[in-house]
Amino acid sequence: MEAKRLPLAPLVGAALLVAVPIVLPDWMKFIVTLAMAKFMAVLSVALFLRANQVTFGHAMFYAVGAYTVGFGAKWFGVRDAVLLVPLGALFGAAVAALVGLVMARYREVFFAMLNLAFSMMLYGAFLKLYWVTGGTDGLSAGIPKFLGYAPSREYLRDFLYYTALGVTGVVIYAVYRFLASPLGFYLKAMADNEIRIEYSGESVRHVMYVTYVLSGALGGVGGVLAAFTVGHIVPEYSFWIQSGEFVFVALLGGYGSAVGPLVGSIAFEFIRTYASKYFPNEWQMVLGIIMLAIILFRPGGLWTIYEGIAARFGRREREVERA
Amino acid sequence: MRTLTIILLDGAVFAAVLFLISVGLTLVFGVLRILNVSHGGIYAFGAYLATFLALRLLEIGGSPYLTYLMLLVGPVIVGLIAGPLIERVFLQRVYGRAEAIQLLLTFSIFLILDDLMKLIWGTKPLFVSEPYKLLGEFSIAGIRYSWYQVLLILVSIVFGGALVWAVRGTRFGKIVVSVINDREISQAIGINVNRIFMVSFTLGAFCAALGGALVAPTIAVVPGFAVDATVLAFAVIAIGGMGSLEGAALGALIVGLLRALAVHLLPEADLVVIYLAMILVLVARPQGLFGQVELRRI
Amino acid sequence: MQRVGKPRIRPWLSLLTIGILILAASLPATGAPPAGAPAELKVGFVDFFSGAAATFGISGKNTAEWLVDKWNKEGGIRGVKVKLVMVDEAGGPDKQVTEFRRLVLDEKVEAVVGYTSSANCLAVAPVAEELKVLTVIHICGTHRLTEDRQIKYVFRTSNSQAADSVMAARYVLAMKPNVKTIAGANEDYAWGRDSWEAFRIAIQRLKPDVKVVAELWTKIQAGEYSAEISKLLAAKPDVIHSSFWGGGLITFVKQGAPRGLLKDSLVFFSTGEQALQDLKKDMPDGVIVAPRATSGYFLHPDPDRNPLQKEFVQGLKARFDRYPDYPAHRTYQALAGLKAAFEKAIDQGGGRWPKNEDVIKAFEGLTWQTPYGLITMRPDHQVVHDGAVGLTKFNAKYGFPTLERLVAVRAAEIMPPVGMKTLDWVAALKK
Repeated sequence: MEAKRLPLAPLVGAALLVAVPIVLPDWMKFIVTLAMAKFMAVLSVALFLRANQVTFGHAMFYAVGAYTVGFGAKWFGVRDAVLLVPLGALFGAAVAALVGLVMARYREVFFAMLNLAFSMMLYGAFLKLYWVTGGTDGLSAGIPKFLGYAPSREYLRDFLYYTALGVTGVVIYAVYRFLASPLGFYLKAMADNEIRIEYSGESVRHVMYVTYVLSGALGGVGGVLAAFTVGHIVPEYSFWIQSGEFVFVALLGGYGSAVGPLVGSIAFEFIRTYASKYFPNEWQMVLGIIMLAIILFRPGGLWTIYEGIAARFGRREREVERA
Repeated sequence: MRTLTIILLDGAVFAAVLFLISVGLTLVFGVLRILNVSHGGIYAFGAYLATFLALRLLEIGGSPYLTYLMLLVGPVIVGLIAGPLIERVFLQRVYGRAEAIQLLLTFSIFLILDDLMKLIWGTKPLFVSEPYKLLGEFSIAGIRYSWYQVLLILVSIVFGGALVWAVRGTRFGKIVVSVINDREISQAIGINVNRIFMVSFTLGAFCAALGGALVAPTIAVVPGFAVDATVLAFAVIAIGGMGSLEGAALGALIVGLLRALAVHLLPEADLVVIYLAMILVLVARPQGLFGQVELRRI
Repeated sequence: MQRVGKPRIRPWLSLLTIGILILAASLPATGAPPAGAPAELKVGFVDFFSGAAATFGISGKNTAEWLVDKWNKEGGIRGVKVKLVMVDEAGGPDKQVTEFRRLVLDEKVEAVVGYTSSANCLAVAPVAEELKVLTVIHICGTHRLTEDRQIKYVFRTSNSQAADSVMAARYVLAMKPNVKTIAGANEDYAWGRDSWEAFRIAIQRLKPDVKVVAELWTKIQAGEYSAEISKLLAAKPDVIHSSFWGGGLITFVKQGAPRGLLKDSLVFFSTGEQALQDLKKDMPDGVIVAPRATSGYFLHPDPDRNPLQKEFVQGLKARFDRYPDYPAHRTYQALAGLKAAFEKAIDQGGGRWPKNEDVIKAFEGLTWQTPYGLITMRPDHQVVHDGAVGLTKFNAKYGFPTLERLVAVRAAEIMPPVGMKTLDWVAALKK
């Protein structure tokens, strides 16, 4: 991670995030909570982007996580966030372990398309199984508890916020460790050349499969948090446009690190909110134009702006040291 | 037997529509190796412009038979404007970049097109019935059917045939095939690859717009109808094999027939049958039915 | 059930209307705004401005703009002008929940009006409760909104979806008492499922020997119905029920009418009235069409006999070149209800500007005036009102089909009483 050169900045970022509920107005706190939830799904997509693989179906794990909450509330009376977060990870990973058996063989556009097909099947299932899932009307997430404790309404949002923040911290650390592991390096190497990886004795399919299961778990966790934050779960969580949004956000933030997608997610939620505030009729077009601009002028995403600054600072520091 | 006849006809009609929606997408992918998500937007633009022109024509008292001409004029205009514009201004800058970037670029264009149409034509449903009604109906297996929809089947066959001929039988086609197979060698032997890309993309955009225009008389053109067209086209060409014209035809036929079967025999499966087919085909044959296996680079 | 050959509005009601109007017109210009009143009353208005549902979301938006402009010209709500903050309902529940919070916490609106999609109204209802914001649902149809949980801050100012289906069953039986076979063509999602289920159960309760010969479930806004139409033509049901809407409905009619579908069977379109002005000659005569179970229809009550209706119909036509359809009527009902609740709360509070809780108290049991007539908010925060339904007949004067043999089905015949769950009520339906 580039950020290593400037350890101060991530700390400042983390401190800012901790301070959000105190500093920012309530509705912004909500947006940042939602952004952190979606960040995990975005991260799951970003992992594959590192390997130069696009997926147009990763919203399916996000949906699995969300429906874990919905079914938990509707059928089992379970609404403890501390229990449901790992459960969402587990179900996300389980579905990914199954789908991944097929998916690990595919690359590029076929990978994108087959993911799309699976996620749309899931979308169809959530929509069709009306009596179980509530169809398009969806399921209510209910009010979450935390280790059996049910916070009162005025503190609920803070509990959700800090839960999401805590999970975000754990996820960033875990993914950072994964990316720094041999498997993580192989993943990045896939973008250049798969056959050389095979020569080195590692199976590319194995790399793909492990990453896929990990991405499923990430999506699942994101879905659980999003379900609690939004409060309502609908089949659209698994729709291809939602998957497209995750890819969009990963590129917006930059997928070179684990932090880029977080920056992207927060930026995206604010862009979307302000776009629909000032352009209630054309907010989609505004999103499209911003994305075009990013692709054409900032291909590495927003995070590269920071990295550019960090690199310049680093150089200056080094120059100072040399002098 | 009667039911079978109807299923075959219903399936063929839907297949014709699907083929028209997806043939341009597969063409562009074949040449440029880019999955053009904005395809659906161009499709909708074709439908909007053709309908708009036909309605204006009727308004100023033109012969209803001239509306058929508008179904051609609209797509030509859309193709000639959208094709070069999108390819020259945007796509050109991302050739050779990561696939994600290319996909996202076309996704952004899709979002912009969707709202652009709303700004031009508003949200009221736009539709013209004359081309559909003028041809009348006929009876088959005890039920009535519209000639226009049968005409769509014929048009798809002729149009598909013409495209196959253009790629296989003409000098332009041979150049395109050589570009598809090896860009660098093609450039070396003096082919203007950039021009081929632009022409191919424009042809693809025209196909998309023509599809929209021909389907338009049977539907109401409303905001957002491009979204479904896009994902249907994805499914069709993924089944048939991306980049293959024959594949698009076969994919359309499979999906069309499956859906007709579902409606008549198992209506509950109407929604999922397309994606089920897509998964089955892709799992068994990742490159699609007509797709070519690409060699891995070392 | 009651035929509407003669005007349904009784003379005294017209007099009352005129009286209220004169009173309303004379009041605001003179009085100063209530004590503690804000400079303007900010109200969020949420409806579909993009996507397929924009075809009727825009209708709601137009009505809201027209109505609020009219009020503001007349002095607003007791001298306080109303300002609408528009939000697009497209984009899914997570966007709607975000937008709702922004409306309340950033824009500081005092109330939110809108929501057409059931998923969205179910998603924002708990947020409205959490933030304690008065929220008036104008169109969303799911009975789950008012029956699944306790609501305090959320009100619905029109019938729920079940009313559409029960009204359909009653009207079909009145038109065709010997109906034997029915078929459904509905979209494969909650709205379509609920609509068909309630219709099927209701008609089989009212006439037990009715048989279902086809149940079709199409993709939402599919755009290609050849196979569905073939199947329906082959099945030859006496009656076809369809809850298609917007572009999907128009496409279905365009593809089905030339093939004789709407002649061979008696077809009922629960939202059909909304598309008549678009379909024009493409909609054949003799099709049952409803503005959902909405009592207001632009010719009912007769604008020439009802000044409020006349003002509404002419105003909307003049400004947007479209007559009010059911989303327009339902938007009017919602906004007029909100205004009446504020005014009642001001009066009850001795002329002071009311708190949120006061408006809510005023809203419960409130009776207010709409172009159709008076409607009342029940204590369970649900309005029940009559539903209009009729047969299409091309009308040369307007250039599109209007409704003939219009019937206003009584509210009590199409909506469950307070405290009764919709599904239980439909399942126990009696003649």
